[in-house]
Amino acid sequence: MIYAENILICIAVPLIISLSFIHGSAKRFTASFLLGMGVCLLAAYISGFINVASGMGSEDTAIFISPIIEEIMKFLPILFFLFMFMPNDRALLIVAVGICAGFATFENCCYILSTGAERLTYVLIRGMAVGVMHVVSGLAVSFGLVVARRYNMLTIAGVVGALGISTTFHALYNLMVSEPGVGTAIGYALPIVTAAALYLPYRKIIAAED
Amino acid sequence: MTLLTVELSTDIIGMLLSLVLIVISLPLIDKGRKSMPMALFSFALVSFMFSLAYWIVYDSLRPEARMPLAANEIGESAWFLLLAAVLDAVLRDRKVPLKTFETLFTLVFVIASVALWIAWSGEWVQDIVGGIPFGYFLYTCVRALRQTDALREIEWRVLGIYCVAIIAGHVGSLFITIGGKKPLDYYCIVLMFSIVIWLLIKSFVSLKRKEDPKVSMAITFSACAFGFSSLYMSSGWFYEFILLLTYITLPLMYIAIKREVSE
Repeated sequence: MIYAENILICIAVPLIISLSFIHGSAKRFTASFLLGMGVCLLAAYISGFINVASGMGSEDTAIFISPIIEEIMKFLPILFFLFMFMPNDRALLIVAVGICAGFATFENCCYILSTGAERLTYVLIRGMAVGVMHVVSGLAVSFGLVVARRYNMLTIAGVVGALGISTTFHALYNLMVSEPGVGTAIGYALPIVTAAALYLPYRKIIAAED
Repeated sequence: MTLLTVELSTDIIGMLLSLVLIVISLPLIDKGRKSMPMALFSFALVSFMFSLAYWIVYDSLRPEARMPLAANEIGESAWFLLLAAVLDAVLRDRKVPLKTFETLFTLVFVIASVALWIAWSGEWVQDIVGGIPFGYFLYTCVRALRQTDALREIEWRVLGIYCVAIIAGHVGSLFITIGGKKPLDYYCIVLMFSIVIWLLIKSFVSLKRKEDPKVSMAITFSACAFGFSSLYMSSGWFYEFILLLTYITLPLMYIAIKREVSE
Protein backbone atom coordinates (compact mmCIF):
# COMPACT_ATOMS: atom_id res chain seq x y z
CA MET A 1 0.00 0.00 0.00
CA ILE A 2 1.34 3.40 -0.91
CA TYR A 3 -0.05 6.84 -0.08
CA ALA A 4 -0.37 8.34 -3.53
CA GLU A 5 -1.70 11.69 -2.26
CA ASN A 6 1.35 12.14 -0.04
CA ILE A 7 3.68 11.34 -2.93
CA LEU A 8 1.83 13.86 -5.07
CA ILE A 9 2.28 16.58 -2.44
CA CYS A 10 5.97 15.76 -2.10
CA ILE A 11 6.61 16.04 -5.83
CA ALA A 12 4.24 18.93 -6.45
CA VAL A 13 5.41 21.42 -3.81
CA PRO A 14 8.80 22.29 -5.39
CA LEU A 15 7.16 22.53 -8.80
CA ILE A 16 4.43 24.84 -7.47
CA ILE A 17 7.04 27.09 -5.90
CA SER A 18 9.09 27.08 -9.09
CA LEU A 19 6.06 28.47 -10.95
CA SER A 20 6.65 31.86 -9.25
CA PHE A 21 10.12 32.12 -10.77
CA ILE A 22 9.60 31.00 -14.34
CA HIS A 23 7.73 32.52 -17.27
CA GLY A 24 6.41 31.81 -20.76
CA SER A 25 6.56 28.30 -22.17
CA ALA A 26 8.50 26.96 -19.16
CA LYS A 27 5.75 28.10 -16.81
CA ARG A 28 3.07 26.66 -19.08
CA PHE A 29 4.87 23.32 -19.26
CA THR A 30 5.42 23.11 -15.50
CA ALA A 31 1.80 24.02 -14.74
CA SER A 32 0.50 21.41 -17.14
CA PHE A 33 2.98 18.86 -15.72
CA LEU A 34 1.46 19.48 -12.28
CA LEU A 35 -2.01 19.19 -13.72
CA GLY A 36 -1.04 15.89 -15.36
CA MET A 37 0.02 14.47 -11.98
CA GLY A 38 -3.31 15.51 -10.42
CA VAL A 39 -5.17 13.98 -13.34
CA CYS A 40 -3.27 10.73 -12.85
CA LEU A 41 -4.42 10.54 -9.23
CA LEU A 42 -8.05 11.20 -10.23
CA ALA A 43 -7.86 8.57 -12.98
CA ALA A 44 -6.55 6.05 -10.45
CA TYR A 45 -9.50 6.83 -8.15
CA ILE A 46 -12.00 6.32 -10.98
CA SER A 47 -10.36 3.11 -12.22
CA GLY A 48 -10.30 1.79 -8.65
CA PHE A 49 -13.99 2.58 -8.28
CA ILE A 50 -14.85 0.84 -11.57
CA ASN A 51 -12.76 -2.15 -10.56
CA VAL A 52 -14.82 -2.56 -7.39
CA ALA A 53 -18.18 -1.63 -8.93
CA SER A 54 -17.92 -3.81 -12.05
CA GLY A 55 -16.24 -6.80 -10.44
CA MET A 56 -14.01 -7.21 -13.52
CA GLY A 57 -10.88 -7.83 -11.44
CA SER A 58 -7.89 -5.52 -11.19
CA GLU A 59 -6.00 -7.09 -14.14
CA ASP A 60 -8.91 -6.89 -16.58
CA THR A 61 -9.75 -3.37 -15.39
CA ALA A 62 -6.15 -2.32 -16.01
CA ILE A 63 -6.15 -3.86 -19.50
CA PHE A 64 -9.62 -2.94 -20.77
CA ILE A 65 -11.02 -0.04 -18.75
CA SER A 66 -8.04 2.00 -17.53
CA PRO A 67 -6.98 3.13 -21.03
CA ILE A 68 -10.43 4.64 -21.57
CA ILE A 69 -10.45 6.41 -18.19
CA GLU A 70 -6.85 7.61 -18.40
CA GLU A 71 -7.14 8.93 -21.94
CA ILE A 72 -10.43 10.73 -21.20
CA MET A 73 -8.92 12.23 -18.05
CA LYS A 74 -5.83 13.46 -19.93
CA PHE A 75 -7.99 14.65 -22.80
CA LEU A 76 -10.38 16.81 -20.75
CA PRO A 77 -7.83 19.44 -19.60
CA ILE A 78 -6.35 19.60 -23.13
CA LEU A 79 -9.82 20.16 -24.55
CA PHE A 80 -10.60 22.75 -21.86
CA PHE A 81 -7.39 24.61 -22.67
CA LEU A 82 -8.15 24.48 -26.38
CA PHE A 83 -11.68 25.83 -26.16
CA MET A 84 -11.18 28.32 -23.30
CA PHE A 85 -7.86 29.89 -24.29
CA MET A 86 -7.79 29.35 -28.07
CA PRO A 87 -4.01 28.71 -27.98
CA ASN A 88 -1.81 28.45 -31.05
CA ASP A 89 -0.62 25.01 -32.15
CA ARG A 90 2.72 25.27 -30.36
CA ALA A 91 1.11 26.21 -27.01
CA LEU A 92 -1.41 23.39 -27.38
CA LEU A 93 1.34 20.86 -28.00
CA ILE A 94 3.36 22.12 -24.99
CA VAL A 95 0.35 21.79 -22.69
CA ALA A 96 -0.55 18.33 -24.06
CA VAL A 97 3.01 17.04 -23.66
CA GLY A 98 3.22 18.59 -20.17
CA ILE A 99 0.01 16.96 -18.99
CA CYS A 100 0.99 13.57 -20.37
CA ALA A 101 4.57 13.75 -19.06
CA GLY A 102 3.22 14.69 -15.60
CA PHE A 103 0.76 11.82 -15.77
CA ALA A 104 3.45 9.33 -16.80
CA THR A 105 5.93 10.57 -14.17
CA PHE A 106 3.48 10.33 -11.30
CA GLU A 107 2.24 6.92 -12.44
CA ASN A 108 5.83 5.65 -12.68
CA CYS A 109 6.69 7.06 -9.23
CA CYS A 110 3.75 5.28 -7.61
CA TYR A 111 4.42 2.07 -9.52
CA ILE A 112 8.09 1.94 -8.65
CA LEU A 113 7.42 2.79 -5.00
CA SER A 114 4.97 -0.07 -4.76
CA THR A 115 7.01 -2.69 -6.63
CA GLY A 116 10.60 -1.66 -5.92
CA ALA A 117 13.31 -0.23 -8.15
CA GLU A 118 16.09 -2.75 -7.67
CA ARG A 119 16.21 -4.02 -11.26
CA LEU A 120 17.54 -1.39 -13.64
CA THR A 121 16.23 -3.24 -16.73
CA TYR A 122 12.70 -3.19 -15.39
CA VAL A 123 12.93 0.49 -14.46
CA LEU A 124 14.27 1.32 -17.91
CA ILE A 125 11.48 -0.60 -19.63
CA ARG A 126 8.94 1.12 -17.42
CA GLY A 127 10.33 4.53 -18.32
CA MET A 128 10.87 3.90 -22.02
CA ALA A 129 7.57 2.10 -22.58
CA VAL A 130 4.80 3.39 -20.31
CA GLY A 131 6.38 6.80 -19.87
CA VAL A 132 6.77 7.36 -23.60
CA MET A 133 3.39 5.78 -24.35
CA HIS A 134 1.53 8.44 -22.35
CA VAL A 135 3.41 11.22 -24.11
CA VAL A 136 2.79 9.65 -27.53
CA SER A 137 -0.93 9.22 -26.93
CA GLY A 138 -1.15 12.83 -25.74
CA LEU A 139 0.72 13.99 -28.81
CA ALA A 140 -1.62 11.96 -31.02
CA VAL A 141 -4.59 13.66 -29.41
CA SER A 142 -3.12 17.12 -29.84
CA PHE A 143 -2.14 16.39 -33.48
CA GLY A 144 -5.70 15.29 -34.08
CA LEU A 145 -7.03 18.49 -32.56
CA VAL A 146 -4.55 20.63 -34.51
CA VAL A 147 -5.61 18.98 -37.78
CA ALA A 148 -9.31 19.22 -36.88
CA ARG A 149 -8.94 22.91 -36.06
CA ARG A 150 -6.93 23.60 -39.20
CA TYR A 151 -9.77 22.16 -41.32
CA ASN A 152 -12.43 23.88 -39.20
CA MET A 153 -13.70 20.49 -38.06
CA LEU A 154 -13.56 20.84 -34.29
CA THR A 155 -16.86 19.03 -34.03
CA ILE A 156 -17.89 16.01 -31.99
CA ALA A 157 -16.57 13.78 -34.78
CA GLY A 158 -13.15 15.46 -34.79
CA VAL A 159 -12.87 15.45 -31.00
CA VAL A 160 -14.02 11.83 -30.59
CA GLY A 161 -11.77 10.88 -33.50
CA ALA A 162 -8.71 12.27 -31.74
CA LEU A 163 -9.74 10.60 -28.47
CA GLY A 164 -10.48 7.32 -30.25
CA ILE A 165 -7.02 7.12 -31.77
CA SER A 166 -5.20 7.82 -28.51
CA THR A 167 -7.43 5.48 -26.48
CA THR A 168 -7.06 2.58 -28.88
CA PHE A 169 -3.30 3.10 -29.07
CA HIS A 170 -3.04 3.07 -25.27
CA ALA A 171 -5.32 0.02 -25.00
CA LEU A 172 -3.31 -1.82 -27.65
CA TYR A 173 -0.14 -1.25 -25.63
CA ASN A 174 -1.77 -2.43 -22.37
CA LEU A 175 -3.13 -5.54 -24.08
CA MET A 176 0.18 -6.41 -25.74
CA VAL A 177 2.23 -6.21 -22.56
CA SER A 178 -0.39 -8.04 -20.50
CA GLU A 179 0.99 -11.49 -21.28
CA PRO A 180 4.62 -12.54 -21.84
CA GLY A 181 5.75 -13.39 -25.37
CA VAL A 182 6.58 -11.72 -28.65
CA GLY A 183 3.60 -9.37 -28.16
CA THR A 184 5.21 -7.93 -25.05
CA ALA A 185 8.42 -7.09 -26.90
CA ILE A 186 6.45 -5.45 -29.71
CA GLY A 187 4.33 -3.65 -27.11
CA TYR A 188 7.38 -2.24 -25.34
CA ALA A 189 8.85 -1.06 -28.64
CA LEU A 190 5.57 0.43 -29.89
CA PRO A 191 5.67 3.76 -27.95
CA ILE A 192 9.26 4.62 -28.83
CA VAL A 193 8.75 3.72 -32.52
CA THR A 194 5.56 5.80 -32.63
CA ALA A 195 7.33 8.67 -30.87
CA ALA A 196 9.99 8.59 -33.59
CA ALA A 197 7.29 8.52 -36.28
CA LEU A 198 5.47 11.48 -34.69
CA TYR A 199 8.61 13.60 -34.54
CA LEU A 200 8.36 14.54 -38.22
CA PRO A 201 4.78 15.89 -38.13
CA TYR A 202 5.67 17.65 -34.87
CA ARG A 203 8.55 19.49 -36.54
CA LYS A 204 6.26 20.31 -39.46
CA ILE A 205 3.62 21.89 -37.18
CA ILE A 206 6.25 23.90 -35.30
CA ALA A 207 7.93 24.99 -38.56
CA ALA A 208 4.56 26.06 -40.00
CA GLU A 209 3.98 28.32 -36.97
CA ASP A 210 7.47 29.84 -37.15
CA MET B 1 -8.60 -23.92 -41.49
CA THR B 2 -10.29 -22.91 -38.24
CA LEU B 3 -12.62 -19.96 -37.80
CA LEU B 4 -10.05 -18.28 -35.55
CA THR B 5 -7.38 -18.47 -38.27
CA VAL B 6 -9.83 -16.96 -40.75
CA GLU B 7 -10.73 -14.23 -38.23
CA LEU B 8 -7.08 -13.35 -37.74
CA SER B 9 -6.42 -13.43 -41.49
CA THR B 10 -9.35 -11.13 -42.34
CA ASP B 11 -8.31 -8.70 -39.59
CA ILE B 12 -4.74 -8.67 -40.90
CA ILE B 13 -6.01 -8.07 -44.46
CA GLY B 14 -8.15 -5.17 -43.19
CA MET B 15 -5.27 -3.71 -41.23
CA LEU B 16 -2.86 -3.87 -44.16
CA LEU B 17 -5.47 -2.44 -46.52
CA SER B 18 -6.10 0.46 -44.13
CA LEU B 19 -2.36 1.05 -43.80
CA VAL B 20 -1.90 1.18 -47.57
CA LEU B 21 -4.84 3.57 -47.94
CA ILE B 22 -3.47 5.81 -45.17
CA VAL B 23 -0.08 5.96 -46.86
CA ILE B 24 -1.47 6.78 -50.30
CA SER B 25 -3.92 9.34 -48.93
CA LEU B 26 -1.23 11.31 -47.06
CA PRO B 27 0.11 13.19 -50.14
CA LEU B 28 -3.45 14.35 -50.89
CA ILE B 29 -3.97 15.85 -47.44
CA ASP B 30 -1.64 18.80 -47.58
CA LYS B 31 -3.60 20.73 -50.20
CA GLY B 32 -5.47 23.25 -48.10
CA ARG B 33 -9.11 23.28 -47.15
CA LYS B 34 -10.24 21.27 -50.19
CA SER B 35 -8.40 18.24 -48.89
CA MET B 36 -10.39 18.15 -45.65
CA PRO B 37 -12.48 15.07 -46.61
CA MET B 38 -9.30 13.11 -47.33
CA ALA B 39 -7.75 14.27 -44.03
CA LEU B 40 -10.83 13.11 -42.14
CA PHE B 41 -10.91 9.84 -44.08
CA SER B 42 -7.30 9.01 -43.27
CA PHE B 43 -7.97 9.99 -39.67
CA ALA B 44 -10.89 7.53 -39.69
CA LEU B 45 -8.70 4.83 -41.23
CA VAL B 46 -6.14 5.23 -38.42
CA SER B 47 -8.93 4.60 -35.91
CA PHE B 48 -10.12 1.58 -37.86
CA MET B 49 -6.62 0.20 -38.21
CA PHE B 50 -5.93 0.47 -34.48
CA SER B 51 -9.25 -1.17 -33.75
CA LEU B 52 -8.38 -4.10 -36.04
CA ALA B 53 -4.91 -4.33 -34.48
CA TYR B 54 -6.61 -4.55 -31.10
CA TRP B 55 -8.77 -7.44 -32.33
CA ILE B 56 -5.73 -9.25 -33.75
CA VAL B 57 -3.82 -8.98 -30.48
CA TYR B 58 -6.88 -9.94 -28.45
CA ASP B 59 -7.68 -12.99 -30.59
CA SER B 60 -4.05 -14.11 -30.39
CA LEU B 61 -3.80 -13.71 -26.63
CA ARG B 62 -7.25 -14.86 -25.61
CA PRO B 63 -8.66 -17.03 -28.38
CA GLU B 64 -12.33 -18.02 -28.03
CA ALA B 65 -12.87 -15.57 -25.14
CA ARG B 66 -15.52 -12.90 -25.71
CA MET B 67 -14.07 -9.42 -25.52
CA PRO B 68 -15.40 -7.36 -22.60
CA LEU B 69 -16.11 -3.63 -22.87
CA ALA B 70 -12.79 -2.40 -24.22
CA ALA B 71 -11.15 0.68 -25.61
CA ASN B 72 -11.51 -0.42 -29.22
CA GLU B 73 -15.23 0.45 -28.92
CA ILE B 74 -14.11 4.09 -28.75
CA GLY B 75 -11.94 3.50 -31.84
CA GLU B 76 -14.87 2.02 -33.76
CA SER B 77 -17.17 4.85 -32.65
CA ALA B 78 -14.56 7.33 -33.86
CA TRP B 79 -14.38 5.46 -37.20
CA PHE B 80 -18.12 5.86 -37.79
CA LEU B 81 -18.26 9.47 -36.61
CA LEU B 82 -15.33 10.45 -38.80
CA LEU B 83 -16.83 8.75 -41.85
CA ALA B 84 -20.06 10.65 -41.18
CA ALA B 85 -17.98 13.84 -40.88
CA VAL B 86 -16.44 13.17 -44.33
CA LEU B 87 -19.90 13.01 -45.92
CA ASP B 88 -21.09 16.03 -43.92
CA ALA B 89 -18.09 18.04 -45.06
CA VAL B 90 -18.65 17.20 -48.74
CA LEU B 91 -22.40 17.71 -48.76
CA ARG B 92 -22.40 20.79 -46.56
CA ASP B 93 -23.74 22.98 -49.37
CA ARG B 94 -26.50 20.52 -50.29
CA LYS B 95 -28.37 20.51 -47.01
CA VAL B 96 -31.63 18.79 -47.85
CA PRO B 97 -33.26 17.48 -44.68
CA LEU B 98 -34.82 14.03 -44.87
CA LYS B 99 -38.60 13.78 -44.86
CA THR B 100 -40.11 12.92 -41.47
CA PHE B 101 -41.00 9.40 -42.68
CA GLU B 102 -37.46 8.75 -43.94
CA THR B 103 -35.92 10.01 -40.69
CA LEU B 104 -38.30 7.88 -38.63
CA PHE B 105 -37.65 4.82 -40.80
CA THR B 106 -33.87 5.17 -40.41
CA LEU B 107 -34.26 5.73 -36.67
CA VAL B 108 -36.48 2.67 -36.27
CA PHE B 109 -34.04 0.54 -38.31
CA VAL B 110 -31.12 1.65 -36.14
CA ILE B 111 -33.02 1.14 -32.86
CA ALA B 112 -34.21 -2.28 -34.02
CA SER B 113 -30.63 -3.22 -35.00
CA VAL B 114 -29.24 -2.14 -31.62
CA ALA B 115 -32.07 -3.96 -29.82
CA LEU B 116 -31.19 -7.12 -31.76
CA TRP B 117 -27.48 -6.78 -30.89
CA ILE B 118 -28.44 -6.46 -27.23
CA ALA B 119 -30.78 -9.46 -27.47
CA TRP B 120 -28.01 -11.57 -29.01
CA SER B 121 -25.11 -10.53 -26.82
CA GLY B 122 -26.71 -9.12 -23.66
CA GLU B 123 -24.02 -6.43 -23.67
CA TRP B 124 -26.04 -3.27 -23.05
CA VAL B 125 -23.22 -0.79 -22.60
CA GLN B 126 -21.13 -1.87 -25.61
CA ASP B 127 -24.09 -2.07 -27.93
CA ILE B 128 -25.48 1.33 -26.98
CA VAL B 129 -22.03 2.99 -27.02
CA GLY B 130 -21.35 1.50 -30.47
CA GLY B 131 -24.93 1.90 -31.70
CA ILE B 132 -25.24 5.67 -31.38
CA PRO B 133 -22.30 6.61 -33.66
CA PHE B 134 -23.18 3.81 -36.06
CA GLY B 135 -26.78 5.05 -36.19
CA TYR B 136 -25.56 8.56 -36.92
CA PHE B 137 -23.34 7.25 -39.73
CA LEU B 138 -26.21 5.28 -41.24
CA TYR B 139 -28.49 8.33 -41.01
CA THR B 140 -25.82 10.48 -42.70
CA CYS B 141 -25.51 7.91 -45.51
CA VAL B 142 -29.28 7.80 -46.07
CA ARG B 143 -29.36 11.60 -46.12
CA ALA B 144 -26.43 11.66 -48.56
CA LEU B 145 -28.24 9.23 -50.87
CA ARG B 146 -31.27 11.53 -50.80
CA GLN B 147 -29.23 14.74 -51.22
CA THR B 148 -27.40 13.42 -54.26
CA ASP B 149 -30.41 11.60 -55.77
CA ALA B 150 -28.21 8.53 -56.00
CA LEU B 151 -31.14 6.10 -55.85
CA ARG B 152 -34.26 5.97 -57.99
CA GLU B 153 -37.66 5.90 -56.31
CA ILE B 154 -38.09 2.19 -57.01
CA GLU B 155 -34.66 1.49 -55.47
CA TRP B 156 -35.65 3.37 -52.31
CA ARG B 157 -38.75 1.22 -52.01
CA VAL B 158 -36.85 -2.02 -52.55
CA LEU B 159 -34.23 -0.96 -49.99
CA GLY B 160 -36.97 -0.13 -47.46
CA ILE B 161 -38.72 -3.47 -47.99
CA TYR B 162 -35.43 -5.34 -47.63
CA CYS B 163 -34.63 -3.54 -44.36
CA VAL B 164 -38.07 -4.39 -42.93
CA ALA B 165 -37.73 -7.99 -44.11
CA ILE B 166 -34.28 -8.36 -42.49
CA ILE B 167 -35.43 -7.00 -39.14
CA ALA B 168 -38.61 -9.10 -39.24
CA GLY B 169 -36.58 -12.21 -40.09
CA HIS B 170 -34.13 -11.67 -37.25
CA VAL B 171 -36.91 -10.92 -34.74
CA GLY B 172 -38.73 -14.06 -35.87
CA SER B 173 -35.56 -16.11 -35.53
CA LEU B 174 -35.18 -14.88 -31.94
CA PHE B 175 -38.53 -16.33 -30.92
CA ILE B 176 -38.44 -19.57 -32.91
CA THR B 177 -36.65 -22.31 -31.03
CA ILE B 178 -37.66 -25.27 -33.19
CA GLY B 179 -36.94 -26.33 -36.79
CA GLY B 180 -37.81 -23.06 -38.56
CA LYS B 181 -34.91 -21.14 -37.01
CA LYS B 182 -32.21 -22.25 -39.44
CA PRO B 183 -34.12 -21.44 -42.68
CA LEU B 184 -35.05 -18.06 -41.20
CA ASP B 185 -31.39 -17.35 -40.42
CA TYR B 186 -30.40 -18.27 -43.99
CA TYR B 187 -33.21 -16.08 -45.34
CA CYS B 188 -31.80 -13.11 -43.37
CA ILE B 189 -28.27 -13.85 -44.58
CA VAL B 190 -29.40 -13.95 -48.22
CA LEU B 191 -31.19 -10.61 -47.82
CA MET B 192 -28.23 -8.96 -46.13
CA PHE B 193 -25.79 -10.26 -48.74
CA SER B 194 -28.08 -9.05 -51.51
CA ILE B 195 -28.15 -5.47 -50.20
CA VAL B 196 -24.39 -5.32 -49.69
CA ILE B 197 -23.61 -6.86 -53.10
CA TRP B 198 -26.16 -4.63 -54.83
CA LEU B 199 -24.63 -1.50 -53.25
CA LEU B 200 -21.14 -2.73 -54.13
CA ILE B 201 -22.15 -3.19 -57.77
CA LYS B 202 -23.75 0.26 -57.78
CA SER B 203 -20.52 1.69 -56.33
CA PHE B 204 -18.40 0.04 -59.05
CA VAL B 205 -20.77 1.26 -61.77
CA SER B 206 -20.86 4.79 -60.38
CA LEU B 207 -17.06 4.98 -60.22
CA LYS B 208 -16.62 3.39 -63.64
CA ARG B 209 -19.06 5.81 -65.26
CA LYS B 210 -17.22 8.66 -63.55
CA GLU B 211 -20.44 10.07 -62.14
CA ASP B 212 -20.44 13.17 -59.91
CA PRO B 213 -17.96 12.26 -57.11
CA LYS B 214 -20.55 13.28 -54.52
CA VAL B 215 -22.93 10.64 -55.88
CA SER B 216 -20.16 8.02 -55.87
CA MET B 217 -19.30 8.99 -52.30
CA ALA B 218 -22.91 8.63 -51.17
CA ILE B 219 -23.17 5.16 -52.73
CA THR B 220 -19.77 3.83 -51.59
CA PHE B 221 -20.29 5.13 -48.05
CA SER B 222 -23.76 3.57 -47.96
CA ALA B 223 -22.29 0.26 -49.13
CA CYS B 224 -19.87 0.50 -46.21
CA ALA B 225 -22.67 1.39 -43.76
CA PHE B 226 -24.90 -1.48 -44.88
CA GLY B 227 -21.85 -3.76 -44.87
CA PHE B 228 -21.25 -2.99 -41.21
CA SER B 229 -24.96 -3.24 -40.44
CA SER B 230 -25.05 -6.75 -41.94
CA LEU B 231 -21.75 -7.60 -40.27
CA TYR B 232 -23.13 -6.87 -36.82
CA MET B 233 -26.12 -9.11 -37.57
CA SER B 234 -24.00 -12.11 -38.62
CA SER B 235 -21.76 -14.59 -36.91
CA GLY B 236 -19.17 -17.27 -37.72
CA TRP B 237 -18.16 -17.78 -41.35
CA PHE B 238 -20.81 -15.39 -42.69
CA TYR B 239 -19.39 -12.66 -40.48
CA GLU B 240 -15.94 -13.14 -41.99
CA PHE B 241 -17.32 -13.21 -45.52
CA ILE B 242 -19.34 -10.00 -45.06
CA LEU B 243 -16.30 -8.41 -43.44
CA LEU B 244 -14.27 -9.16 -46.58
CA LEU B 245 -17.05 -7.69 -48.71
CA THR B 246 -17.07 -4.60 -46.50
CA TYR B 247 -13.30 -4.20 -46.94
CA ILE B 248 -13.92 -3.78 -50.68
CA THR B 249 -15.77 -0.55 -49.86
CA LEU B 250 -12.62 0.99 -48.34
CA PRO B 251 -10.68 1.52 -51.61
CA LEU B 252 -13.95 2.47 -53.32
CA MET B 253 -14.55 5.20 -50.75
CA TYR B 254 -10.95 6.32 -51.19
CA ILE B 255 -11.34 6.60 -54.99
CA ALA B 256 -14.60 8.56 -54.62
CA ILE B 257 -13.04 10.99 -52.12
CA LYS B 258 -9.91 11.34 -54.26
CA ARG B 259 -12.05 12.38 -57.23
CA GLU B 260 -13.95 14.85 -55.07
CA VAL B 261 -10.73 16.34 -53.69
CA SER B 262 -8.98 16.59 -57.07
CA GLU B 263 -12.02 17.97 -58.89
